[in-house]
Amino acid sequence: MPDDKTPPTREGEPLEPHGVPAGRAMHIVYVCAIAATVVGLYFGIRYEPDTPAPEQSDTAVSPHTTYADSAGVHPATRYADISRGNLGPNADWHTQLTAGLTQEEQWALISPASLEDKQRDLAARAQRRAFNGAPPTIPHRIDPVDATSCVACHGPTGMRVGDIVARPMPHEHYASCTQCHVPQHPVTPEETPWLQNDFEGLPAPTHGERAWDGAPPTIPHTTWMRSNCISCHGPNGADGLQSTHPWRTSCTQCHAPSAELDQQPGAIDYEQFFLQNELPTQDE
Amino acid sequence: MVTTSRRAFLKSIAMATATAAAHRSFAQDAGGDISLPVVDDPPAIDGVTWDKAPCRFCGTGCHVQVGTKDGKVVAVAGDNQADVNKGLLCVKGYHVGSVLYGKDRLTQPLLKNASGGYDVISWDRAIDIVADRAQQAPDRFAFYGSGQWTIPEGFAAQTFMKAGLRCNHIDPNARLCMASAVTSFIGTYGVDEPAGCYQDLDECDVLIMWGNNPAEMHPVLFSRVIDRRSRGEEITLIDIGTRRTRTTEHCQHYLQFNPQSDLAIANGIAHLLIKNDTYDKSFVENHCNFRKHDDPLKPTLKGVASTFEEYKAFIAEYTPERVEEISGVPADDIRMLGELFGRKDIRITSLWCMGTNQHTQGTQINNLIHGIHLLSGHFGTPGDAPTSLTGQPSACGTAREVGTLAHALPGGRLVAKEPHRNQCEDLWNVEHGRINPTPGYHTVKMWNQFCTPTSEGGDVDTIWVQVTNPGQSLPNLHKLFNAKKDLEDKFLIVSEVYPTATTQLADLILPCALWVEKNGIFGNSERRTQQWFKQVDPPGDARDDCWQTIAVARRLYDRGFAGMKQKDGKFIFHTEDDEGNEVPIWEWEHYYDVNVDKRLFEQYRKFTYVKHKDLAPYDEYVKARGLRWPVVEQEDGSWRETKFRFSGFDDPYVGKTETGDPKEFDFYHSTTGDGKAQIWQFPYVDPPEMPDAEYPFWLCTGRVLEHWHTGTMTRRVPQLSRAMPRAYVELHPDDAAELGVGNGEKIGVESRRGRIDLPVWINGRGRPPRGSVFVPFFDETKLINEVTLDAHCPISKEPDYKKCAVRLIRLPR
Amino acid sequence: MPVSGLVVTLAHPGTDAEAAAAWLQGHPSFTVGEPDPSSPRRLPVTLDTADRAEDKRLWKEMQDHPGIEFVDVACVFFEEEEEEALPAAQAGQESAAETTHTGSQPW
Repeated sequence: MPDDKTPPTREGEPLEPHGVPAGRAMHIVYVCAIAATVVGLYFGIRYEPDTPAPEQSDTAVSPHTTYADSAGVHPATRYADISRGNLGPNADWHTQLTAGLTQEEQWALISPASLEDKQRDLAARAQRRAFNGAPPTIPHRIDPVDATSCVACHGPTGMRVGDIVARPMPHEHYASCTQCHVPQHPVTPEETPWLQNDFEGLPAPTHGERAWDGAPPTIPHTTWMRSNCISCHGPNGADGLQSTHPWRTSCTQCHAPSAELDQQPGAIDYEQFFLQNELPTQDE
Repeated sequence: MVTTSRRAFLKSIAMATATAAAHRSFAQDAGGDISLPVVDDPPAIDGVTWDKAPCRFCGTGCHVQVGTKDGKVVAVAGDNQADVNKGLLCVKGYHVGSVLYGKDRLTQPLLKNASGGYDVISWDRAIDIVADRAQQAPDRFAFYGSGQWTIPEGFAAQTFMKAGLRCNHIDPNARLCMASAVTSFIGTYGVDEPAGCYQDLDECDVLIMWGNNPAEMHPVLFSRVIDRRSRGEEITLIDIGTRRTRTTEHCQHYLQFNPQSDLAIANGIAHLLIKNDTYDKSFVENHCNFRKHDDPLKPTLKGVASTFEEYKAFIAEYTPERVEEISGVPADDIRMLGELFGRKDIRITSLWCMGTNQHTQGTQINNLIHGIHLLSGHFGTPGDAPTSLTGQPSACGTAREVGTLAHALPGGRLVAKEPHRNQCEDLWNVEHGRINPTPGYHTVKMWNQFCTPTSEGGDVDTIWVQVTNPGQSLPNLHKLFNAKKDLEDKFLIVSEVYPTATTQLADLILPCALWVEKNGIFGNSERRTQQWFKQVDPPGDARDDCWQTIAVARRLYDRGFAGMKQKDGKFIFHTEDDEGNEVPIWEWEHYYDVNVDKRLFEQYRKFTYVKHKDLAPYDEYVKARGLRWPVVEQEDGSWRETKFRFSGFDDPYVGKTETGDPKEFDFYHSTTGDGKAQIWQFPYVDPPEMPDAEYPFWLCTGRVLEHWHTGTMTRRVPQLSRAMPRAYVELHPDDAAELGVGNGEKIGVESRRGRIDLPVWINGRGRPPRGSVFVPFFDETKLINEVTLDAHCPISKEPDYKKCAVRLIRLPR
Repeated sequence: MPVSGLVVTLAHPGTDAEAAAAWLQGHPSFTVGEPDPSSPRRLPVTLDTADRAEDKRLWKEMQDHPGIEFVDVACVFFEEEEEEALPAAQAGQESAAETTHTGSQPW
């Protein structure tokens, strides 16, 4: 377990810096400088990322919106607005100024996330989940009948248009998306007597266990329904959750899942094994 | 210090794990079935302890893993080891843990005072009050429960009423949802509940849904079918419905029929099977009889014997063109169905639930669907099945198997039959003659008698409600529930977890434990019995429903009430510990000294053999993720469940042929005593109320994905209530235009019985045809059942919530 | 005092595999188990060391050893150290049984 006082490294990567090809060094410095400038400008004008979207709050939901906002009416987004990207729940996504770089160049820019980034992104993630492991709610409107369009954006590679990020689904394809994922429309034509609930869900784990400093951490969450690590830890994942080494794709080679969290049926019965091997007792 | 022996132990475990991993990797390359090691009793990670439980909601019976920490449920996961759901859940299931923590949980017994408010009283006083009501007029005391009663709770209530009070006025809300399925199973096979199981969904080539929307109501089962497509399998889905739903979007065929005309469609299929000579002659000859009602207008459960020739003559008029005329379904689509059923190279499963059960001809339409499966021989092999789904977690396990119905006794027995009564009296250890031979009042009658003034013959004066919400779910609420308000001498006792529409009229409210706050056993739609243990404490002074029943019984026993004694004078719920000492389980402090569930279950288990619904010992269910009855002990002492009942290849109770092999099929509870099932004939008849000039629209009611039944639990889960906050009325765009209303605008929905105002949803989740509207019933602030009809199936007494006539009223802007 | 269960994948026969196997068998910290006859290159091995530094050193040595292609971790037990020699952050992981293997999950 990393010391709480030291900022945790991103999953699974030893602390050694990554090698950057010498010939590219200047190139990268140049890109970084521009990126820093323009990102600064963008940060100045964009939607405040740390403010939770009001509709995500569990309590005190305000019904003071018109009904036309919900009920299957899909207000069209103008093309001109897409690039500005302040579209409600996805507004906390960063513009990728590095999108034009080659993959290797992008990788070279990766640095471990700060503790603040990680905490911010875990908090944002928690807003859409009742507890760690609950299917996230849908932060946008959907077609009330036909959910097959989900795959158009949330397919195997996910999608990024301007600031809007659709993560790839982290689990194998199930055809009935709305079976588990529901949108949250607190807009009703009249006041709704929201019933309060004191459920306190299990928070998401913040880090896996490490055998020693620099050892790959274990996977602190179930991999059931989260078998595609790239969904959250890949390049389209939130900053604070991204892998420092996306070029390595066999994640479970180094990061061990938990048999308990994954509810694996008993391949080894420890008790039985104990008896079979006739272990020495404490007295011997 | 780490001792040497401990290190040796650790090393041996490390070696075992490494060996398993080394060997396993090869097995995986070879495509073998892999699993990683797991410790049997794993340590809690993050202080979270996980244990199994069936989901609290519908009859699918998914298993969940419940994560608890510091005495609270904190997480829920799909159970990977559960055959029903294989690790998947629906959005309700994932959030089932939150239902325990609504802020307004009832935590203390409450008694209505003179000013209409409530006083907190002690449990002792509360038990006294219930005992008083039962003692002063046991024959006017009624118990109203549900398919959410656990098996032990239902068995305790059944014992309390039928053996204890000698009163048969006990009925479950399953009367409002499953009764037609029950009467039809009995009429067709002589014994209740489906022959097949969910494996049929994995193996069918064609799935026909009769007035069914499993994409929302049984999502996990629906996924089980449509996910086969993702794996490259071909499967034909056919939706026979009265409105387009999410299910329709996944179907190749949508056959929209006029309400009630499902009767004609089923007959149309039978007509084609006979006309095209594609019915299964050998199956019909060897395994079927024909049966009809003497007078179709006064159908009975028994009916009279008929012949194939009579059947053929009867069915002759249901040509595809005639069926089109009645149903509105194109004749070509009827032919398509007829041809599918005529094919032997495909496997066909039918699926239905409330669309056919909540029907004024509910028993009949159920019978007709069974009939076409029997006639075509699409029965009894995996994938060929008429499959009736249930809506409640233990509608099968408790209401139907324990038989908490006014006319029934445990294990498929009937109150009216003396041998059945005597068997139960022996098992309860009470003297013969104890059980009242007259069936009690079914649900609609019970509430009608309760809401009728005593002076006008209303001879039920107390109802004790457990685990259900009749104040919202009964039909025609003004007549069957709200009328109680003005009747001073009527007394309503409600055991509940939250304030509901029912508690609003309650005189005494008893706070209850919910789901994993108590031990329990449910029985799902595929005959699977599922056990769980208490995992957290209930809040405040809330207590188990089962304890409440036992405590009242004991109070009566202590007052000398004869019915609460066994014939040797012991308490009717006499319970001993391992040393043979009586445990005072009627005292809450001692209720969990023994496992009362196990004790009641072991007693109940002895009731189950007569109808070959054999259950295994309690401890077998502790180990399993449910077992499907009949569960039969094998020579090696293990217990084997049964997937396909009446089929010789699987059901151990199928009779033998002369050569000693099992018969191919054997309906061993046949009502005709010859091992055969009954194919019924029944004509299309008009429903009792149809749209007319005054009330020109059909009204259909039902559920939505996010909410379960009356929403008392799901409306308290933020993720669910925010996804579906309020009720609405679905309306066709042309009807909306004609009426001059837009999306979100409120209109009045009015029948001859009542009216409510609702916002319009056009092109919403469901899309009714012109002249038809749909309203969900989960919203207690919009009680659509003040509008619905209390007309019911003459055989099952189940009301029809799916069709009545209404008019729509545009409100002044 | 860590105890690990490992799966060592040897190189193909005829290379340095035999030497690597002999090294593992001869080393006091390793115990070599029985491989599956159908996959003789995958050896189950336990690694028992006095402290974490030693564990890490041997781990690295294995990785670099000629004739050893991969080392997969099946499980690791971290026993309490005899002295509080390690920073607090690394202690307190009684029997953190973990498993990993190459390739995708079986589901």
